[in-house]
Amino acid sequence: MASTTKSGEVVRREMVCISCPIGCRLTVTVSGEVITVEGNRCARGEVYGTEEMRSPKRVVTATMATDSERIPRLPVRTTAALPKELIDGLLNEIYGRRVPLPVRRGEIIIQDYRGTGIDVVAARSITRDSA
Amino acid sequence: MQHYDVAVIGAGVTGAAIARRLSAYRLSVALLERECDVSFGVSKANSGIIHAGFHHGPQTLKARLEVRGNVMYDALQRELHFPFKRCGILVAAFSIEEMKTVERLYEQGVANGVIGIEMCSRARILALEPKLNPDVVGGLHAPSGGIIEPYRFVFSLVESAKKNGVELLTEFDVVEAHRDGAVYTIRSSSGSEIAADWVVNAAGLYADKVSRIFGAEDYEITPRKGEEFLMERDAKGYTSRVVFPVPTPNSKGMLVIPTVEGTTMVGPTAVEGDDKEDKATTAENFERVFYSARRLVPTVSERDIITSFAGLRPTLPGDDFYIELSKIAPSFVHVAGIQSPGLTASPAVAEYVKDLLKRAGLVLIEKPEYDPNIPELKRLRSLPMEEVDELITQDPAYGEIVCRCETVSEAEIKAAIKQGHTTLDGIKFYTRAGMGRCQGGFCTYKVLKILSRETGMSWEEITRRGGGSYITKEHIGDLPVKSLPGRVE
Amino acid sequence: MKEIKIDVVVVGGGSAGLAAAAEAARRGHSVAIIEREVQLGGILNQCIHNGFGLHYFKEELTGPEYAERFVDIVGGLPAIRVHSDSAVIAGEDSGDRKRIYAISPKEGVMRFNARAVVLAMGCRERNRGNIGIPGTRPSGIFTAGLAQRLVNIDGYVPGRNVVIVGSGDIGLIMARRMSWVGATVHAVVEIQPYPSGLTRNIAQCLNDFRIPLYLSHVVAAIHGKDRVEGVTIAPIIDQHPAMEQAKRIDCDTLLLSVGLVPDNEVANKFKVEINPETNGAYVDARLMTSCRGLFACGNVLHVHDLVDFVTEEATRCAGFVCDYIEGEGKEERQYKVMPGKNVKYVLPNMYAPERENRFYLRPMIVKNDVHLTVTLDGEQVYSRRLPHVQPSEMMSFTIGPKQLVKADHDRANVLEVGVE
Repeated sequence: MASTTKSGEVVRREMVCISCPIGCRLTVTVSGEVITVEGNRCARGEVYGTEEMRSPKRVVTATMATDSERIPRLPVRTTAALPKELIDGLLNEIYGRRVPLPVRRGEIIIQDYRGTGIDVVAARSITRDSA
Repeated sequence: MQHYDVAVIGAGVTGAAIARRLSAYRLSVALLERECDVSFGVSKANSGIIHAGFHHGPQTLKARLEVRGNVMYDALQRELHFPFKRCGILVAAFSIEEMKTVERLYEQGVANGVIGIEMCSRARILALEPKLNPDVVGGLHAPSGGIIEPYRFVFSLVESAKKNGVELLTEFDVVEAHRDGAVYTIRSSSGSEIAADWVVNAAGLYADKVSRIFGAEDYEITPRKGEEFLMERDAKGYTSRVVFPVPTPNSKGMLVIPTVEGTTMVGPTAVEGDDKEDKATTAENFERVFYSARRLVPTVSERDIITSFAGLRPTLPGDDFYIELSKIAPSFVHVAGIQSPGLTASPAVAEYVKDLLKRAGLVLIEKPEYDPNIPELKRLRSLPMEEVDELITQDPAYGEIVCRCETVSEAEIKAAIKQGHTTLDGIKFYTRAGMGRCQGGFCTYKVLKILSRETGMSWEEITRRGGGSYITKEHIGDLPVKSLPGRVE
Repeated sequence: MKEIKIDVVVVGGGSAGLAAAAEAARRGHSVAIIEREVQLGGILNQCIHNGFGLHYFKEELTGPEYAERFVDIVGGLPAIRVHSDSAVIAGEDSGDRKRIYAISPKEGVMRFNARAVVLAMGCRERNRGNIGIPGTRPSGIFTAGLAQRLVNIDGYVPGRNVVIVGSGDIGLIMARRMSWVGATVHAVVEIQPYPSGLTRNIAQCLNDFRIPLYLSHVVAAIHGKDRVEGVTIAPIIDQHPAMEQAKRIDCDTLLLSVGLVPDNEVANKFKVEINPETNGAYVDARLMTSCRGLFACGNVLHVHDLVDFVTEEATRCAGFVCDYIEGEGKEERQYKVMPGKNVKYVLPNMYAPERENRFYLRPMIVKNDVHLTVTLDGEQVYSRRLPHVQPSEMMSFTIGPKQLVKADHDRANVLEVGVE
C-alpha cells in the first residue's frame, strides 16, 4: 500500500468510500508524506481515504457456534475496522470457537485481537435453551 | 438371497399399479426401483391428465386400455385418496380443416366406447369454457376426462402395495440377470441380489436395457422430451376444463391444464433426442409453448410462471404400448413404450398384465386379507377451522406451518418421511411443500431440520432427489478462509 | 379455539411489525404481534452485516443489533402480546372488526378479533422459475436469502464454488459472506448495464475480493445432472444473449439475487387491491388498504432499501391506525397521487392536504443533477434538486398544507410526482 512516495512521485487512486450507504467516489493522492482526499461529502470520507492508502481496514461480521439448539449461531462483529491482512486469521479463529450461553448483546467475546485494541462483541443476546 | 414369485422392475405409475394388483394374490412381489424413491423416473414429469380415449384408434392397445383405465379412477380415489377431478376435456378447433380433424377424433372416441363425448359448436364450446379464444370455431367435449396429481397417485399405489405385502427395493438399478432352471437371479449395481420366478419389465426409459439384460427381445426406447411451465394458483389463465389444441401426427399438442391443486400448466412440447438423462429446459421452447397456450386461452400470462421442468417420454417405433410375454426369455413380460396415455391406462394395464401372467401359468390365489384401502392423511389445507383446533390438540405438529404458500404442516412432513420419502423432492411430491409461489424459499430450511431430526441424517446426507444431489457438504469452519485477493483466477 | 379480543393485530414481527406495535402500544392500545418464527426480528436476524440504523440511531449497526433494540422496546411494553411460532391461515372482514385465524403448536387455533390490522409480513424472493433460466434442474441453486439463512442462522456453507446472479445488495452481501466462510465466488452476473446495489457494496463485497462483475450478462444455461456443475453466461446484445460470446464458468452453487416481491399471502385473504407497480397494496393517505381497517407498511407495502425508512413508515402507519381506532368518525379529505415522469411508483397512493404527508418513491432512471417536481393538477407546488438518482435508491420527501393550499373542494387535485 502506498502511503508515502519517493520525492517527486505522485500516486493517485480512485475508490469508493464505504463509511455510509451514500458511497462517495473519492480521489486519493499521495505525494511524499502528504495524502489528499477529494470527493468526500463528510469528514469520515477523509479518514477512510487516508486509512485506505495507509492501512486498509474493514469491520468484520461473522457468526460463532453456540451450544444452543434453538439458536445455533451467535452473530458477532468487530468494534472497529480491522486491518485487512488480519481478517482471514480472525475469521478462522472465530469459526474454531464455541461460545457458552447465556450471552448479552455487546458482551466481549474476543478481547483486543492481536493487540489492535479491537474487540469482537456479540451482536445479540441469547439465553440458555431451557430458559 | 430373497426369493420372490414376481419381480416388477420400475416403480413408476405402471410398475406401481401392477405391483398393487398382484398384491391382491398369494404372491411374494418385489418392486425394484433404480432411483432413491418411487415416481422419480418418467412419472415424475407427468402432466396429470386422465384422458378420455379419443386420441388413438380402436385398433391400438393404448386406446382400449385408456378407456378401460379411465373409468376405474373413481373407485381408486375412494381407496387411495389422491386428488382427482373429472373436470372434462375440450379440443378447440380454429378452422374448418381443424374441425375435420376433430370429427375424426370424435368418431374415434365413439368407436372406443367413450361415454358422453360430443361435438361442439362455437357457442357450446365457449359456454363450456368462457376463457377460450373467441376465434374458436368449435370442437369436442369429453366429460369423462379429468386431472389428478400424478405423484400422489403413484405414492398411494405403492403405499397400498406395501400395505398388502409388496416389498419395495429402492436404489436397485438392475445391471445383470441370469436364469438357473426356473428362477432368475437379478443383481443391482450396488451388488445386492434377489431371485424371482417371474419378471415384469416396467422400466420406462430403460425398458430396452432391462430387456437385453434378461436376454429378451431387442428394441430401442427413444426419449422424447416434453417441457412444461407451471403458473401460480388462481392465475388468470386457469380454465375449468383441460384444453387441447387439434393434435399433430407427433403429439397431442401443447395444452392448458388446470391442475387439481388450482395451478395452471402449459405444455408439453415434444422433441426427440438421444440422451435419456437430458431434462434441460430451453429458451426457444418457452416462446413456442406460450404462443400455443395463448392461442387457446388468451389470458395465459408468463408473468404468472413459478417454475418449469422437462420430462422424457419412453417411445417405441409404432408408438403403441408393447405389453407382451417375451417369446425368448421365459416368464418375462414387457410393459414398454408406456408414454401418454400411460397414466390413464395404468390400472387397466395392471389388469391386463395380471391376466397375461395368469394365462402364462402364474398361479393366482386371492388373498382374503387384501385391503385396497389406505388411510387418508389429514391435510391442514383442506380442513375446516374447528377440526384444525382438534387436530392440533391431538398432534401439535399440525400447528406448525412448514410450507406457508401451500399451508403444509409439520405433521404432514413427518407422515411423508414415515412413508419412506426422505429426499426434498419426495417430501415435496407427497405434501406439496415447496411447490407454491416461493418455490421452497421459505420452507427448505424447515424441511431440512425436520428430516434430520426424524431420520437421524445429517444435513450433509440429505439430497434433493438422491444420487449426488446434495444440499450442503460443509459447516462453517470446515473450510479455511483465504479471502484476501491474490487468489488464482 | 382461543378467542383473543384486541385493538390491533400486527401480522409480522420484523422491523415494520415491531415499530408499528411499539407505537400503537405507546398510544395506549392493546396489540398482538403474530410472528411465524420462534423469535422476533424478521429478516434482520440473518442480516448479520453492518449498515443498519445510520439514520435512525446515528450509528452503524448490524441487523441483529438493530432488531434487538426494538425487541427490547416491545418487551418493555406490557400492552403488547407476542405470539411467536404462529402462522396466519385465514382472515375475515366483519366490517368494524377484523378476524384473523392463526395457529401454533402450543395454542392450536387462535381467533383474533381486532379493530384494526397492520400487515407487516415483509417480502419474499423471486426465484429461478420467475426468471426462467433454461437448463437442467440440479440441486445447488438457492435464492440468496435462503443461502443467507442457511449460513448465518444454521451455520452451513451451501457450496464451495459460487456464481451469483444479480448485483442487488443481497447478492453482493452474499458474495462477501460466502468468501468469508471459505467459499470462492467466481462471478456476479448482472443483466442491466449498471449494478443494482449500493456502490459501497460493490467496493467492499466485490472489489475487496477481486470478484468479477459481468454487467449486461445473463446466465444462458445451468449445467449439472444431480448438482450444479457449471453455468454458461453470455452478454446481452440487442436484448438477446449473444451465444457466440458465451463463456462457461465451472461452479457447484448458484445464488439468485433477482428481486424481492411483497409477500401478500395474508393480504390476499382479505382480497386487498394490489398495485402491479409495487406488487404491494394500494393504500390511501393513512396507509390503509382497500379493505377498511387493514393497513400495510414496510416491505409488504413496497420493497425498501433502508430499514430506517421501514421503521419510520411503520411508526407513522401505527399513528394512523390509532387515529382510525380513536376516530370520531371524521375522515380526512384525500386525493390521488400519481407517478409522473421517470417515476415507477409513489406511495401512499393518496394524500391529505390538511396535514404533512411523507412520500416514498422510486425513479426509473440513473441520472445526476435532477429535479424532483410535484404538481397539483398540473401546477408545480414543490421542487427539489438532487445530485444523483438511481432505481435502487428509494427517494422521499414531505409536503404539507403550505404546498397543498390550493387543493380545494371542487377540483380533481391530482398530485403528480416526476423526476427529470
